[in-house]
Amino acid sequence: MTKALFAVIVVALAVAALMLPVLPAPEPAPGAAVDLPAVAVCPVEEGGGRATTIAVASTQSGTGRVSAFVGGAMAGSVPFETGSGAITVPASDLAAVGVVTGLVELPGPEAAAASLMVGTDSVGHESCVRSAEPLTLLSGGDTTGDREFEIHLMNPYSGEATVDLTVRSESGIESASQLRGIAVPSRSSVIVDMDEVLPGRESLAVAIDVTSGSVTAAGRLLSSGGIAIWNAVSPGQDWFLPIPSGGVDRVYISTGVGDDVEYQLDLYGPEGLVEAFDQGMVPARGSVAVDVAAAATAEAVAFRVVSTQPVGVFLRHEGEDGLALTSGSTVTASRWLLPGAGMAGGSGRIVVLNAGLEDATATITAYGRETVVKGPPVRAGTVLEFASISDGASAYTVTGEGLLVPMWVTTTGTATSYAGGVPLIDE
Amino acid sequence: MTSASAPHVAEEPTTASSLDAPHVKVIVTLVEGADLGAALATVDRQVYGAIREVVVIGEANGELPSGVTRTATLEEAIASTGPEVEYLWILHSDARPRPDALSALVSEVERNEASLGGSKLLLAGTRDELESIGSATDVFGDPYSGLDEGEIDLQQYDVVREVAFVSSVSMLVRRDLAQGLRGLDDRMEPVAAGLDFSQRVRLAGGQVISVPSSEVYHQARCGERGRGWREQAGRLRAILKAYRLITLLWVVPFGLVVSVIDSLANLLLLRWRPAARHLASWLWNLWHLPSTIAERRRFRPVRAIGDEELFRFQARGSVTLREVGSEITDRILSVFDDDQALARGTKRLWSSPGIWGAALAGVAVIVGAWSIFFSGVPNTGFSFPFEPPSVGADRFFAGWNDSGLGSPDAVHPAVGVTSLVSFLWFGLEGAARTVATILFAVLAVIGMGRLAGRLGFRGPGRYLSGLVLLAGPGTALLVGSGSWMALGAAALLPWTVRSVFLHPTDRTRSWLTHAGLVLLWALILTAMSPVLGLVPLAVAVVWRLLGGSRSSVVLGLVSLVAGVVAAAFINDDRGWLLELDRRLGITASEWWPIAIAVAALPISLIEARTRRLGVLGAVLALGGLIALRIPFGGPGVEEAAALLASFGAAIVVAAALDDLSAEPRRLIAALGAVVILALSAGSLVNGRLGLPDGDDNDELGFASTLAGEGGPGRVLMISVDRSLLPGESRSGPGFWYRTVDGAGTTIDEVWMPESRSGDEALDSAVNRIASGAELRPGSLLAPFAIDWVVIVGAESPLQEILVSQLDLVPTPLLTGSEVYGNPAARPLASGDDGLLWARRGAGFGGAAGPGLMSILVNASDGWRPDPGSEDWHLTVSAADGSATFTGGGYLSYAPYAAAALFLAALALIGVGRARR
Repeated sequence: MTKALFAVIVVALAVAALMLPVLPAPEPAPGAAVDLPAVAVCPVEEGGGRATTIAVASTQSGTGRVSAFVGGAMAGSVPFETGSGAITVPASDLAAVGVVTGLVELPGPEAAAASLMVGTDSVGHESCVRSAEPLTLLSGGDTTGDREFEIHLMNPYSGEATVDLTVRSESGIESASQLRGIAVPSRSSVIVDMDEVLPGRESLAVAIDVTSGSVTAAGRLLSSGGIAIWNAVSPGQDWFLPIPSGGVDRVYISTGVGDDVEYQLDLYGPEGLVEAFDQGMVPARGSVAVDVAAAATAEAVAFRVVSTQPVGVFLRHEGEDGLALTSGSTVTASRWLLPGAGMAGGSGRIVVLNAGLEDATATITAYGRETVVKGPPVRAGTVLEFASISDGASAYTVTGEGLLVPMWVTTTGTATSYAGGVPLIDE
Repeated sequence: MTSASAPHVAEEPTTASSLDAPHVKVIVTLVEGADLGAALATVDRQVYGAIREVVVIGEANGELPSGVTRTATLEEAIASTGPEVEYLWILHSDARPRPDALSALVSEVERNEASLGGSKLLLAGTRDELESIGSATDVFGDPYSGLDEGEIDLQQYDVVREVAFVSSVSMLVRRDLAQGLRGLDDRMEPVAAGLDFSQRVRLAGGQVISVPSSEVYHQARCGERGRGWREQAGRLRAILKAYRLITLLWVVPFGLVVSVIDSLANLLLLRWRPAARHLASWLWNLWHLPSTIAERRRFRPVRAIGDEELFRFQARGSVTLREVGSEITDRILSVFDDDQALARGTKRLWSSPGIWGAALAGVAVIVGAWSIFFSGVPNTGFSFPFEPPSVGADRFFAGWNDSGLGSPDAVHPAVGVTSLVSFLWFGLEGAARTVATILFAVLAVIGMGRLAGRLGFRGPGRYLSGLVLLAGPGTALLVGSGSWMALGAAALLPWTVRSVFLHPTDRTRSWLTHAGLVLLWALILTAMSPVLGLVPLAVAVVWRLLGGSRSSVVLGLVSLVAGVVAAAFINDDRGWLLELDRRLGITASEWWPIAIAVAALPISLIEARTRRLGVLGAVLALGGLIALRIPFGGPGVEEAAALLASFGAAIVVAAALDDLSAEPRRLIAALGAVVILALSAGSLVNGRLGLPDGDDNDELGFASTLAGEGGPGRVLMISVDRSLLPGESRSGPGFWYRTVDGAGTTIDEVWMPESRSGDEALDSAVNRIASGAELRPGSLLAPFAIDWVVIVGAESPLQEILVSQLDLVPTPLLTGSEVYGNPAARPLASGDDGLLWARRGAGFGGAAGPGLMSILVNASDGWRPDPGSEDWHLTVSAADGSATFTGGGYLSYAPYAAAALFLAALALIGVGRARR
């Protein structure tokens, strides 16, 4: 009896020890929702006949700070406070000389910054980059003739970064060792002088692969005293590109993937949307330059680029009125900030694409000495171009009810610049 | 040659009694160098009247006396014997039997209805020195006579008794049985032949007895008294012929192991011959394997009973190993033991099978701790170095708990034990920790052996079970995660449990001694693992419920008094006892309950004593494993459950290996125990008693080396894998984190005290950093004196976020971890005018000055002088140049009460012994 009882006890306990579910291993609390700080990284060049101004546009009140980093240290820092409007900070206030990295701590997510480089006969204008991406594309530059093409790798953060550049030219994939393992020290920037590394290249498609750390890249093209600055962009499959009236040369489509990529170029012209205005193939890790001069008319137009794999899209203009380069936009939005728009003097224009299927009203607000508001209608699938509405403005906003994509164009007679806007994403 | 007279044969009967007496045929086997004539003369002088025939085996020189015939082989001689002969007296020609030797043999064999009887052999030419009185063997066939070297015959063994075998020098065997068994194996030397024949007689159902009244002087020319390699080979052949296959399955491998160990041990003693003999023996048997198999087949029809009948007459363990072990011990002891008193004791010692288990366990402990001997105890997981004794004692006696951001809560009571150990080891904390760790391993093995002994076990499993306690189902997991305290608690548990079991026979110990011992062990055990302090009472109660009688529930209740040592800690940190989320999350493999059940279930079906002990072990082991799966209790309960599982499994092993035999239930239980042992031994092979490898303090040494003027602050450690962080950690958003002292972690930091306002502020800061919203995380961490942030192990989302920040400086100081320096960090203790203090003992100190010192620990009123707070942290007056903490509340006196109890326990033991 005792034997049986003991045996039953042993078996019952063993079965219980086997059958009871194992307690789940302790897990940490769920990860926090990522809420990255509102910062923007800007290329800054001070000296050499050009001066940079950092412009900040904001629809919200708050404080911020503009800092310049060079050689592993902060070269200067200027705090600012803004309401709904714009402020500007000359780079000379940051005590920085040379090509440096600017970091703008914005008052909040409803704010944006831009760099404006102005020389005697040159204007370079581009929005600052809000978030660094591990892979970006840069195309539109070349190293033929007297052109100087530089890639500005900016790392304002405290950790060192490393970058690999994959460059494809008309000669194929370039193998220069200077393009690999580029160390970008913390709080510093590195200039990759492409015309020294790869001179005489007509077509350069650059994939910027950040293997460690955080780096933001911008292109700088100098030609006969003119300058163009434009951002490297994160690849996407759907791009919008407003084109101002007159004089556009080429649209560059580049890819960082290892296969050829099919693309289609749709035209938003005066008559509405023309699908498959052009189509073709982007070679693996390379780029194509699409001559769109035939589409450029006296009126502004826009292109939409759709591709089978992620690409980057850039717009280049070169003529007697100077050199301009900018990147397209992968998003449409009803609210846009155009920091720095109107600051360079000359004549300014806003080009607004309504990529939606319904007509939209676009309210254009200029922030400057006085705020002027203008609200023209933009028909669905068309592009509208406005002349500047206020002298001495330092930023514009475009707000509307549709799927809008704006661009700011500065023309001084000897120089031209294109600058895309910064979308304010609705919550 | 002595002249041979004609032997007295049965054809010439002289008395009536000889007519009734059984007829005997004398078979004299030739031994080289022996005087056959003299042998025949002694046969002739036998007073036994019914000798039917005398036969000499083999080719002898010279003429044989009349009436003596010759036969070529023994088998032939046996086969040719007629049915009128009832017994065969097989006699060596170097034997000189007394005249009444045969008569005594026949008389006792008849009286005892035995089938085989052997004479008492005395060495010829000596003063009655005993050679053999019949022998036992071990399971490997090695003879064990029980006689001392040169032991004189004083009739001290003159009792007719059953023995494992008798020598073939002089044996009387029933004719019919001898014919059935076909006599002695002619490939064997005399002793082996006797063993072989005796075993076969027994397995055929016969009785083998030693007849001391039949005295035979033996010239011992027939071999080196059983020590030649042929004898050894013959004995191996004898067991190969006799045992069933299932027995051979374990005897042969064990036999090989014994041969190897004996060879190595003898080589240590600078003797090569035993190794050669073993080798020759195994080779010889390999060579003769076909004939051995043929012999087994021939014997099969005659076999009547199983191997158990042989086991009845066998000594436990290995006779060979016992002898060599005894010799080694003798040699060692002879250095200190001139009169050999101890050495004589070792002979008895090595005859205990438990001692061989202890020796094996000892070897396993040495192997299991080899790395600790050379490299010290690892500093990783939950294994941190001791603090200096005065600092540890200060913390134990209601001092400041410096874990995390600090707390007035009581430290884990093990800090008190470690400070005492450091103090006793002359304040050398590192050496004390190493010694204590090795001592734990030794204590665990000896403790289990002693406990098992008190519970009635004597087999080899009682000490081997200590290995299961050290590395069994729960201990392996706890110790594998670095829990040094668990190792200590495991080692102390059997001693504490033993103290609530009364000795079965020794009644000299007073109750004062018992109570003192219980209290002493329970205080140390409870300090190392507070919940485990309940186990002695639980074991006493379960034992009673199972029908046991020697456990004392009263003593178990006395052990609960020791809970005072942990009262303050448990009261201050109830989460340690109750919060499931704080568990380590250890999960025992599903093989453990299976192995434990396999070992325990057969035990539950055997005789009462072992059954009760086996079931006690199973209840504790399986109960512990079940408790690990029940969603109740915090890390304290988890620790106790895991250790209880190992403790129970150890008792099961001790029970299962207590009596090794081929009885199926015991065999299955033993197999289960071997599996448990094998599973346990696996975690010991790392050479650190299962503790993980690594030295976190060494890795974080940069925090001290690169510290600024204010001395090392804190290191914030982060990982998605909690086991990679030292000690207990807190849950963060998607990872675990904790702060450690930049000067190096110490044992008081193993557990994190309950969260206070500073901890909540740090938690908010960590959450904000993890969200990516903070561009300057260094500034956010600066008020916590966090000099460094270390992200350990696999990629965490935080690494990606910290790529884009401005003030934590990535510094490549560690491989496999990301280290960020925080130049913005504030000093741990700073005041006006740049006044800086550093840690001093369990408090802080430095130059005196005006104003206040900001000390970045959680604010508490227990600090002096002039405690205050700023946000969450402490401020004190800088006037005294030091800040000290004294805990408050009635439980702050509990450690003092525990110390008083400790002294009282020592006093009770002393008084109890004095009264005895």
